[in-house]
Formats: sequence, structure tokens, C-alpha cells
Amino acid sequence: MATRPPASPRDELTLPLLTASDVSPSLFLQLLVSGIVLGSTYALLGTSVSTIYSTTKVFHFAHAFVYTAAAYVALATASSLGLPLAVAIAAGLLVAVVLGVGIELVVYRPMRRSGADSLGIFLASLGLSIAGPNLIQIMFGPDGRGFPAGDPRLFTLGTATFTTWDVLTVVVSWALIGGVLAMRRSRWGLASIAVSANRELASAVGISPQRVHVYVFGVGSFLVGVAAVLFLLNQSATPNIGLQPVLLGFIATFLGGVGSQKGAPFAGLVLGMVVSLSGLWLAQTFQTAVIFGLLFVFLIVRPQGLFGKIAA
Amino acid sequence: MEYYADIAIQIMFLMMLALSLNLLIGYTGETSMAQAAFYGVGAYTAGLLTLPVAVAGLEVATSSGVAGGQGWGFWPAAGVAVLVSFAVASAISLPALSRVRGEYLILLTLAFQLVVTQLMGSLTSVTGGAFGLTPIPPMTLFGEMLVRPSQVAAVVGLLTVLTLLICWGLGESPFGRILKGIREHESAVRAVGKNTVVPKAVVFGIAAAIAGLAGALNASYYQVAAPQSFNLDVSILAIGVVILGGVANPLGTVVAAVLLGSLKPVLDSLVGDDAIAWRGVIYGLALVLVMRYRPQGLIPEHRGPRDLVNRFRRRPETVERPSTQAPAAAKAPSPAPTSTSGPVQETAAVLTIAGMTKSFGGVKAVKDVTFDLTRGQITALVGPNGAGKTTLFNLITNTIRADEGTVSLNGVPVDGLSITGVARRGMARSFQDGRLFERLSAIDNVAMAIPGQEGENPALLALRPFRSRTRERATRQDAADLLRFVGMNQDPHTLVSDLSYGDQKLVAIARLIATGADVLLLDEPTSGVDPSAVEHVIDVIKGLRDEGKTICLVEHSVHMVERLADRAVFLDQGQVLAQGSIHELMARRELTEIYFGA
Amino acid sequence: MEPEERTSTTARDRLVASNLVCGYGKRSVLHDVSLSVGVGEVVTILGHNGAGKTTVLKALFGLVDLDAGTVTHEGRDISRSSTSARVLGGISYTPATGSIFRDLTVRQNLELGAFTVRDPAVRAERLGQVHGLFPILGDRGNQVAGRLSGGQQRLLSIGLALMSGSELLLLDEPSLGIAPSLVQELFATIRELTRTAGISVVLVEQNVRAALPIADHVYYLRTGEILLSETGAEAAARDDWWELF
Repeated sequence: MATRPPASPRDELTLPLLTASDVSPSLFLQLLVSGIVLGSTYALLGTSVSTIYSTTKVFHFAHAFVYTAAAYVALATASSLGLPLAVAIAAGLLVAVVLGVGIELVVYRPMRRSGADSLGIFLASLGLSIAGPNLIQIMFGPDGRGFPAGDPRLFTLGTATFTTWDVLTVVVSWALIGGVLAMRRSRWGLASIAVSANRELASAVGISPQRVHVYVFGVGSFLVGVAAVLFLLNQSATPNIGLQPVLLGFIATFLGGVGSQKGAPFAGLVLGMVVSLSGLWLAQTFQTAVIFGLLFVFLIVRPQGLFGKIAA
Repeated sequence: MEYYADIAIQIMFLMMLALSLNLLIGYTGETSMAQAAFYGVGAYTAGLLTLPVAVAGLEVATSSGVAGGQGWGFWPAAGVAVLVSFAVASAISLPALSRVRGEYLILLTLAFQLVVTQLMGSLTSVTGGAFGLTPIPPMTLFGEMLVRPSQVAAVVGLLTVLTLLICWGLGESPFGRILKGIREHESAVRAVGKNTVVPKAVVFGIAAAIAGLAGALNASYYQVAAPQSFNLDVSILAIGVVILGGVANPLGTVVAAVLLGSLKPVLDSLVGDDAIAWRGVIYGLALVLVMRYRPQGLIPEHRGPRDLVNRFRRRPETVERPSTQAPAAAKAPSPAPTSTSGPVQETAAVLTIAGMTKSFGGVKAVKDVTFDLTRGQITALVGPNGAGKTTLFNLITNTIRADEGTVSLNGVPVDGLSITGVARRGMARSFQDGRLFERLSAIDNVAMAIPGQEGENPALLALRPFRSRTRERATRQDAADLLRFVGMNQDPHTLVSDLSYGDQKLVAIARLIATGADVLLLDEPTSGVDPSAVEHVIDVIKGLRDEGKTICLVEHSVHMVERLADRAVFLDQGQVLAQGSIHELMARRELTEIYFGA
Repeated sequence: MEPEERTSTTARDRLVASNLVCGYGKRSVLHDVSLSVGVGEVVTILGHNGAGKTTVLKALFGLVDLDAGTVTHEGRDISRSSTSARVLGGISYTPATGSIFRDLTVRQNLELGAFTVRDPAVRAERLGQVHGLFPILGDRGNQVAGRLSGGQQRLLSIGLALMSGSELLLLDEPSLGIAPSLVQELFATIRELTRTAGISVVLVEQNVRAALPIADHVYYLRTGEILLSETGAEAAARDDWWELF
């Protein structure tokens, strides 16, 4: 994976792709490999967002802040405090969960109680997504900071190359996605499906939607924390790193179909592959446009997403 | 002096962005995250058009590597920038026109914003890349080049005032009323015979066009168009201004733009380099706190311009006419020419439903339903739960498309029309759940439904401002009369959400009458009404019948049907089993068996 | 007629609702509704559509806030209790539509029914009881609930309620969406439950003829008010209901 400092990640999607100068007959294979890595990341992000969105219907834009905070806490623990990487990662994940659940408890829940609609909650979430990263910028400065993860090993597959971190990204992403799908059979997993499928009946059997919300915010925030740590392996962090991944998570969720748990990871993988393989014909510059184009076409042709049910 | 002029210009740019964005967020209820993208589209368009022409062999001194521009003057370039922004936004709103709303639109505009910012940064040969297009010539006025901030501030100030007037005027016009209706219940706007697709595309376009104008001004003032001036942060800042100021209220937007716009210069002197970050923290938190504790914003919607005006004008709609006039049926205005075809014979069926059939997933919900509605009669649809009564209403008005069957209104088939078209031909329906425009006044609810308002067309508003205003005054007068006719005795300027449920039902009936439709379909007109107010609703409905309206209603209480209806159609499992007076039907043994279960 | 007239009933009152007034926002639905349910009784609420029958059930279950009136369960005032507290107290509510989780399996549905039960042994025991009552739910354990027939879905919805350990079932139109031939059978099952397990049932029905034979007591509701109450036997003997609807 080509590592380059994201000059301003808010302004462009930084994709782990080779630049145009690397074009060779085996470009396809390389793009395929990159697409799988990229798609795995998107799949993880999509699962994270859809876990929260399908049950709570909160357009949780502040997820971007959770992502950024997880990354910076891991960074600060490792480089400023000099603690071992494992501790740093654990600290990052812990902060992600605490922050995500905290936002639900302190901001969204009181708003819901006072009758706020989904647009109102989104706007509050938008406020958090602005305030949070700017606060991080004031504390840590605007420049990129690298994670002392060391250098990965390089592998070659035919003519394609990839690194240990790529392998780790794919393995961890799919392991967690599998874990989340398996957890759907657990007590709280079933409860969260119940709340998202039929809120009234869920209350009627004694499930507290409030507690289910805490659960899904916890799980979703944990996943986005993992995504942030995986990002750090390859690239340096800036206060604005959260926006892109969360946007992609939402796009994967909506393309996959809201309410379909398998839709988001599948759509994420497809999205990553399409974006990566579009490099066969298009310059990297246009990859954001490819994502936008996909979204635009889908919203016109199939607004319910790949696996979604037709909305009433 | 020039320092303050510069700050004023920055605030006014923000004001232009937010005032126009408020048309979308506040009035139409659609959130766009791409306001800055259109700001940028305007800036780059104007920049590319005004940059000097590249002459072969003689390099134009652009520091950004762009070959050169068109060498246009500022004003024609600004005009084109406005048009381009309008066109791009209307195209982007395409998915929004049909069914995409809310979160989907947020996502779509967000993605668009990011595409635009990225292309601005990376299409170096066109945009000059990260450094931007420069040097863009300053604007000229009467042959003079405006370079001092105070000079530019005068021009921008004038255009900001113009923007304020346009947004204010549009918002308070019949066009703005339709936008607010879309925000509250788009389906109800369609059901009273108003097109919603065009207003949505147009308001997207207008919001972007004004942003485009601001962009053109920005580019010429700073003499540069660079990506960071038009990124997502700017979009969110504009949203912040709208929300903090108060949705659907231009005054609030102006105040909030001044507050947030002056944050940066104040912070500059306090925290230096971190000013922008601190501004982000402050307005981000302000957004959270406002949504949590004061979601209506600093100045709420109903403290808008019109209400200020009304306070001084002492509400012309209620005082102009003496209250001695009897609210008789004859006084009810019929604002539209009543129907399409010529005079109809009294005995003829006004509405003919033939062979109506509809299946849902293989189950026939409605089977070969055939019946007529006669002028001056109240027909009730009765039958056990699940008989298909409301489904039939949906089929008649084409809210749901039938598999088979025809609906003719005065002999003209209407089954191919949308619900909007059906309403315009003279058949309108009410909804079980009311679907009133809750955050609008009673009078606006009714006025929304009155047909033939030219103020609903922004172009006509601009071309004939005075005529539109006169027409609007008449519309509101008609609406006030209708409210009085149905006996809604509260102040017609009261927000519907503040009315009692019984009064809300009356507003719904007034709104239905206002469509001018001959055939009225009422879905449970008395349900939920206080027993004491039911009598009044019954009188109103009977009054409409006596006036010659054709009425069909779904009503579950047989008791109520007995009192209201001249005739009943008995449905069971999607089929018409019998027609006749309710007493005839009740006397039939087999219908009793069906109604109360076998 | 006031429920006080019923004090002669031998059954101990399990649930007493007095002078309920409630609605949705500005819309008031119930104006003054009182009723009581004894142990092992089937109480049926009849009335035209929109009379407020479902709202009575929701008010008893705490899904609608009361503007006035009280609900007493086993002698305890539960007027302000949360829904989950009422579930724990032994009340269950089965909506007319959406009364099962269609995308989950039968088994998962039943597990969710016992969501408030912490003890796995109790859950297993209840599951056994429900399977004993409705063997089809055991046979179809791994089937997605939405694929069951209408009648089986109804049984499942009652199974859900029983899994929570409910002694008072609030059933909203259980006959909805079932083949007419099966309605009698379903109602016989409901009656059986009350006889064998001492369970009480509040039944809201459109299908008057099917509901009456199993009713101990009938309340007629019209536009949010109790028009009349009588015993099931009196109601069954009636041959003119039109005036009550």
C-alpha cells in the first residue's frame, strides 16, 4: 500500500492506490488486491455505521469525531506516554466506546425525550463533528502525526504487492464483521434486531430501547475505533481524518440497504473494488466522483439499496 | 475603516449563503451539505470567465499555471456563474425530486461537496489546483475598478440586501407556502392539487444561484478562487447560521450571520493562529446546545417578517369584512371554476367507478368494485374492518394505482392522472390522520389549497410583483372566509399545532373545500372529534351537500353513518355487496352476519 | 353501566381501570373508560373501528400516557409504571398487526418473548410449556416467523406473550388475517388457556360472533366512552347490535 501523507484528507479521498506512473500490464491484479483491502475497510466502516443506524435511525455524523478521537488517543498513548502499542490500541478503543455511548446518553437521548426529530438530532451530531476535531486540532496541532507501528513486510502475489498491514486490515475487518453477524444471535443482538424491526413489539416484550441504543452505540463505536487504528498503521493522522471513513460507512450502509445487516459489508466491499478498479480507466482524481456517481445512480434507480426492502 | 469593511464583506458573503440555504433547510425542510460547492462553482466560473485571454506566444501571468480565461467583464461573468450554479443544483436535486429525502439527500449533497472540493484541488489545468485561480481581475462598476474593501462592501451590501428581499419575499409568497407545505407533508400538498416537483427543483436552483453569485463576488474581491474557501467546513458554517438564527426566518439568519461571522476577527486577536479551530469548537457546540435546548433557533419561525408586519397592520383578513355576514353556505367562496365540463344534469352520476380491482401480493384487496356518486348526496362506504374502504379511496384518487378499472369524473376518465391531477379536475380527498401543515397558520393551511395562484410561480412573482400581492391578499381573504364558513372561530393566524383537535378537523375540511373540488372524499371526518363538536362537523358536511357538492365518506361508526349519509355502499372483502339507505342495509340479515362475523 | 355492578362476580379482580382519559397529543380518544378483569376471565371490548378499543389496551399496558384515571393491577396502582415494569408484573400486549418479529425464527421470537426472564432454567421451562400448548411452534422452531401461516403467526404471538410469564393477555384482534374456519379454533384455545392456567384475557375484536361465545363479560365502546356492559351470555343472546356500533 502506497503510503503518503494526506495533505488534507477532508478535501480528497486518500486511497491506497498506486499512482499513474506505476501503470503496467499487471495493473489489474494490483488494483484487485488494493480493492480487496480498500473494500474490507469500507465493509468494516459500513458495518459500524449500519449497526448504529439500522436500530437507532440516528444519522450519527459525530461518528467522525469518535474515529478521530480513537486515533489521537492511541497516538498520544503510544508516542507521548511511550506505552506499548497494545496499550495504546486498547486506550483508543476504550475512548471510542466511551465517547460513542456518551454522545448517545448525553446528547441524543435527552433530545429524543424532548421530542426532537431525526433532522434535529443530525444537526446536533453535525455540531459535535465540527467541535470535536477542532478541539483536537487545538490540542495537537493541525499537522499529520504518524503511529510508531514500525515497517510492514512486503509480499508479492504475481505482480501485485501488499504488506503485512494490508493482510491485517483484511483479516481483522472480516473477523469483526463475522463477529458482529454472529452476535446477532446473542441476547442483546436479538434485542437490537427486535427494536429495529418492530419497536412497539420490542417494548411490549419488555426490551428497553434505551438500553439497546447503548449497546449498538457501544458496538458501532468499537468497530469504528478499530478502523481508526488500522488506518494509523498506514497513514498519519490529522484532525480531519474522520469525515471520509464515516461518509463511506454511510454510503455503504445506504447502498447495502438500511436494515440489512449483510448489505453494508457487502456494499462496502463492492464499493472498494469498484473504486479501485476504476483506476484502470480513470485517474485517481476522479475516484471520489466514481463514488458519488454510484450513489447518485443508486438513489435514482434503487433508493432502497441492494438488499433493502422497498420503503412504504 | 478598510479593516472593518473587509470583515463586513466576509459577514455578508456568509449571510448570502445562509439566507439562500434557509430556503432549503428552513422552508422546504431539506438539508443540503453542498452550499459551499455551489459557492465554489460560482467563484470558479466567474474566475475562468474574467481571467485574461491567453495569447499565443505571450504567456498570461497567472501564477497557477492555468492557460488563461475568456477576458469577460465581471458582471456578465457573474451572470453566467449564477446560471451555471442554478443548472448544476437543479440537476443534482434530480433524485430528490421523486422520492429521495432526508438522510439520503444529506448523503448525496455531502458526497457532491467532496467531489467538487477534490476536483477544485486536483484538476490543476482548469482550476489551478491547491493554489487556485489567480489573479482574477477585480470587479468594475461604471468603468471603475473596485479594489478598496469599502468600495466592494457597498456593492456586496446592496446585493446582500437584494438577497434578503428575494429570500424574504419568496418565503412569504405562495411559492414559499408550498415549500413549507412540502416540509410538513408533501403528500398533502399534492393532494390539494399542487405540483411539488417543480418547486423543489427551483428552490434547489435558487439557493445555489445565490451561492453562485456570492462565489463570483468572492473571487473578484479576493482576486483568487482556491479550494479551501469552498470546502465542507463552509457548508457546515452556513448550516450553523441557519439553525442558530432560526429556520424559515430571514431575520434570524441575518443576526446569526453577524454573530458567527464576527467570531473569527474577534478570535484572531485573542488566539491568533487557532482562530478558525476555536470558531469551529464554538459554533459546533452552539449547534449542539441550540438543538438540545432551543431547536427553533434564536428567532423562531412564527416571529417572522409577516408576523411583525401583521402586528402593525392589525390583521386585515379578520377586520376587513364585517362579522355580521352570515357564514351561510352560499357565502362560501368557490375560487375555482367548478369543473371541467359543462353543466351536469342533477340526476347524472358525477363520479363513476367501474370494475375497480387491486391485488396486493396475490391477494385481491378490491374486486371489481362498481358504483356511482350522485350530486348533492352523501354516500358512505361501510363494512367490516379490512373490507377495503380506505384502499378504495386510495384507488379512486390514484394514490395507489389500480390493476383494473376506470374512474370517470363528469364523464371524463381520471384514472390515468396523479393525485394532483385528480384534485385539479375537481375531486379531492382528506386523510384519516389529517396531514395538516402543523407549523403553518390555519389561514395558510387553507390558502395552500386555493387553485390558480400565480404567486406560486417565482418567475411570475418577479415579473408581476404587485399583481401577485393583490392576488395573494384575495387568496388570504378567501381562506379566512372559508375558515369562518366551517365555523373555525379561533384567530385564523393561529398555528395549526396550537389549535384544538376539533378545530384542526375543521381546518382540514376548509382546506378540502378550498381546492374548489366538486367531489369530496372524506376519510373519517368525525373520528377523534370531541362528542360536543361532532354535531358541528355534521352540520358543515351536510351544508356542503346542500350546496351541491358530491360527498363520499369512510366512517366506521354506523351510528354516525345513520346521521350523516343519504346512501351507503356496503363493502366486504373488497367487493360491493349492497347499496342503498343505511336503514335498508341494516335490516338485511346477511349483511348483519357479515358485519359482526359469521 | 358502571363496573361496580360486577362486584358480585366471584372471581377476584386482577385488573381494574377507573375513569381512564387519554389520547394522542391533542386528539383525545378515551373520555371516561372504566373496566375490570377477574382471574381466569375473558373480557371482550367491542365497538366500531376508531371507537378507541386499541387505545384501551395501550392505556392498560402503558403505551399511552393517561391524562386522568388509574389502572390497578393485583391491588397495586400501576398507572405510572413503565411498560417493562408491567411486563415483569405479568401483563402482556399483543398488537393487531406486527405482533411477531417476522424476520426472526420462531425460536428466536419465543426467546425474545422471555427477554425479561433472567433465569435460563425458567426460560427453558416456559419454552417447554409453550411447545406443549402449541406443538406446531416446536416443530417449526427454525422457520422464519414471517413464513408461517396466518393462524400459526397468531399462535406464535400468543406464545410470545406466554413466554414472558404473562397472566394477563391484552389481545388486539387476534382473528385478523386468519382464515374464518380457524377463528373458532383459536378462540377455543384462548378460552382453554384461561380455564387451565388461570390466565386473564382482555380481547378486542371486530368479529363479534366469534368473540362472544368465549366472553365472560362484554364492554361496548363508542367514540371513547363505554356505552354498555353486560355478561357474555347476555351479549350472545342479543340479536341487534347495530345500535351499539
